[in-house]
Amino acid sequence: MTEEDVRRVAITIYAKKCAEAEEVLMSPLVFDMHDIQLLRKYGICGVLSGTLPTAAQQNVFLSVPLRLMLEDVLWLHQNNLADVKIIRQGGDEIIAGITPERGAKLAKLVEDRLTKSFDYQTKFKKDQHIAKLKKIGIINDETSAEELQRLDKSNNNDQLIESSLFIDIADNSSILKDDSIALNSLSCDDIRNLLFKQYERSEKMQTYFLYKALRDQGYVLSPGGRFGGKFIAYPGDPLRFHSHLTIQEAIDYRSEPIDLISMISGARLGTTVKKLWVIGGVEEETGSTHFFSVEWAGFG
Amino acid sequence: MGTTDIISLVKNNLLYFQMWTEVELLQDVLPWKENTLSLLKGRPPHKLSNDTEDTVGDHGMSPVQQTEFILPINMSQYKENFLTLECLSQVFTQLCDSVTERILLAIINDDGTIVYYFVYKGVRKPKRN
Repeated sequence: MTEEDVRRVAITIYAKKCAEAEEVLMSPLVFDMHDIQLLRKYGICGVLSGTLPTAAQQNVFLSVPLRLMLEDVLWLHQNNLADVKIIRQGGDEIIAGITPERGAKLAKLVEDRLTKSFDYQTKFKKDQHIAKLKKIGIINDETSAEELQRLDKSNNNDQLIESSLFIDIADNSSILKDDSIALNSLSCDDIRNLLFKQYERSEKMQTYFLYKALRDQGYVLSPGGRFGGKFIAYPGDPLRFHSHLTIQEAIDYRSEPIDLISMISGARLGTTVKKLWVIGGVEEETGSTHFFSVEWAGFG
Repeated sequence: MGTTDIISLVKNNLLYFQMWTEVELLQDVLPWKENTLSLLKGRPPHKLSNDTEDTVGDHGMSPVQQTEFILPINMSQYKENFLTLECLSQVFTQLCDSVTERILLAIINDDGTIVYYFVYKGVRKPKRN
């Protein structure tokens, strides 16, 4: 087994308390780059949402955290591929809860990491410089250590190197990694129930089964709002393919009629952007999913 | 509009406006919640999508188009229709032959205009164009 086989995706969900003491889960977030890579292999792309605090209007080249759909999290959780952490404190509360001792420890951690990175970079640059000098014949293997030191000093190398050092910015939070913040008393089943309860509050459970059925057919799904659907489906990685389908929210197999006006407008939009408009539902008795794909016939 | 009305409306539209040929009403009917559904069958004047293969004509003439099944359906802005997923499944299994992948949905608007949409069973790739 390789490391990736055992690696589990760490998903963070913030819970917000509303006035009626009802708890609402915010969008699921993934902060770790390696987790994001792994998700991509599973066919879950998510949407990057991080921007710079000083340039919040910058909304084109976004960074971590990656925002997932709740369906993604349900699917990962059901397949035992993810650890879901639910955080009930607000950001302010977490910051306020940091004791001076822990604050100092965290600050030292950051400083140590930076020093280590600087040392590594400096050594790498010096080694490269010596290799270059050797190559152009200024020094050779017999050059004494004193001579090397003299050359090093005479060229102001340290100053130059220092000005070119790359400052490594952390791309995940060491505060959030702390287990005491998340509610670890929640078992796997608790989290499952919480997720499904949250899902059922806003969506039909049948929509998740459509999601699951399409994933099982190898489709990659993303949020479909911009094409007038619940999801859009790609036949593979979105960087390689255009999407083929816009999936509508599930309707009841027996009792709910198809809204013809939304079908006409949706399918006509879909046909102009080369996507089929797909509607589906679950047959309760057998649990089987039924899909129908609609496109404009080209006349009339 | 009643079932017979919308059938003749769609038939006339296909024959005399869209220039289809061999448009006829099929014998089988599907009773469905106080309605009866029946299909029309017809041959379009030209290829409707690039995915379908032409069947070559009898005398080596120009290629003949495949026949299509047409389901006429009324759309009212204010009345809920009866076209559920189950209904579509039944149309495919009971009114079409087993190889049929798609039907043509003829949707009749309140003002008598008709729009045509392909409905495919299952998830499908978009047509090449």
